[in-house]
Amino acid sequence: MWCYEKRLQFPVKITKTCPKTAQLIISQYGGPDGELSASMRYLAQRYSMPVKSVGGLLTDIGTEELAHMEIICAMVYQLTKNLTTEQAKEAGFDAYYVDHTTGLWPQAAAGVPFTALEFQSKGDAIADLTEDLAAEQKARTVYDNLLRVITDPEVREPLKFLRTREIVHFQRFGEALENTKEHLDSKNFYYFNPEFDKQFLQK
Amino acid sequence: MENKNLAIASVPIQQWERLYDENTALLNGTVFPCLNMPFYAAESAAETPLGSAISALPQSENLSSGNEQTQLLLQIMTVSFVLDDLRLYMDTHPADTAPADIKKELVTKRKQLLSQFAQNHYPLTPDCEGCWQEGPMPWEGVCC
Repeated sequence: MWCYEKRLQFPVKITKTCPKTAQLIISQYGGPDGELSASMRYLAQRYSMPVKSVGGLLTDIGTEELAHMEIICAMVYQLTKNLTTEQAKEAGFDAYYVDHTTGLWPQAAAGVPFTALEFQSKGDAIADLTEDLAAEQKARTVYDNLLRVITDPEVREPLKFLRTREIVHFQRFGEALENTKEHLDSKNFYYFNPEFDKQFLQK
Repeated sequence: MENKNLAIASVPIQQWERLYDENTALLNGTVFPCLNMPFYAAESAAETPLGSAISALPQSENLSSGNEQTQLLLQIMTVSFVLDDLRLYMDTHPADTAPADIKKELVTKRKQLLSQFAQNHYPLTPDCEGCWQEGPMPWEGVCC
C-alpha cells in the first residue's frame, strides 16, 4: 500500500521557461537510468529477495525514487508551462510538442520511450544487487552531465540534491550486498542461487 | 583483502557519525557528512560547494524569513528528509542504536508539524484533517 504526501521531497521553483533544459532532464523521468526505471527496478526485485532487510531497503529506495520522479516531472512541467510554439521551435522541442503538447510523457532525452527493457529483475540476489549498484552510478553520471550543461541555479539545486541521493543509495545497496553475503557460503558465493535454492541459505 | 572477497563486489559498511542539522541535510541531499561528495568539475566560481548551495537555492532566503506557511512547509520537508535518510541507514544497520532515538524524536516532531499545517493551511497527508482538494498542487512551485 502506498500513501501520497502532497509535497515534494526537495523544493522546485523554476521561474524561467526553457524547453531545451526540459528536453534534457526528461531523461531522468523516462530514460534508461531515470527515476521511473529505478523505482520499477527496485520494487520489482524485492519480492524474491532472500534477506528480509534487503527487501525492506528495496521498498524504501523504490518509494523514494517515486518522489524523485515527481521532482523531475515538476521541473519539466515548470520549465514548459508557459511555453510558446516559437520557443518550442527554437529549442527543438517542437517534435515533443506535436505529440504531447506540454503534457508529461516518460521518454529519454533523445526521444526514446520508457521501456521495461532498461532494467532487470533476475531472481538472483547477487545479480540484482550488482545491477542496482551500477544503476545508481549510471544515474549519477547523467546528473553529472546535466550539471555540466545547465547553468540556471534554480534547476541545478534539485539536480545536485538528486545526484547526492544516487551516491547514498549506492552505499546502501553495497551494504545490502555485504549483508546478503553473510547468508551465503563464503568459500563460494555462487554455490547456489539464494532466491531459488532456499534450503542452502544460512539463517 | 582475503580470498573470500574475490569475484564479488565489496562496499565498506558506513560507520555512524555526527549528523548535519536538518536544513544542511536537505540542502546537501544527505544527513551524513561522509556521503556528501559534490561534483566539483561542474561547480562555477560563484558556486563554491556547501556554503553556496544555501545562497544559490532560490528559496533559501525563506529558510530564515518567508511567511509562516512557507516556514512550516520547509520545516516539514527538512524533518521528513532526515527521516528518509535515516530510514535507509537503519535498513542496513539494524543493530545500530544511535539513529533510533533521533528517529523517535523526529517522528513526534513531524506529526505535530503535519497536524499544525493541516489546521492552519491544508492537509498534506490523507489522514490529516481537512479536504484533500484544498491547497495548491506540489508541482506548482508553491512551497517557497
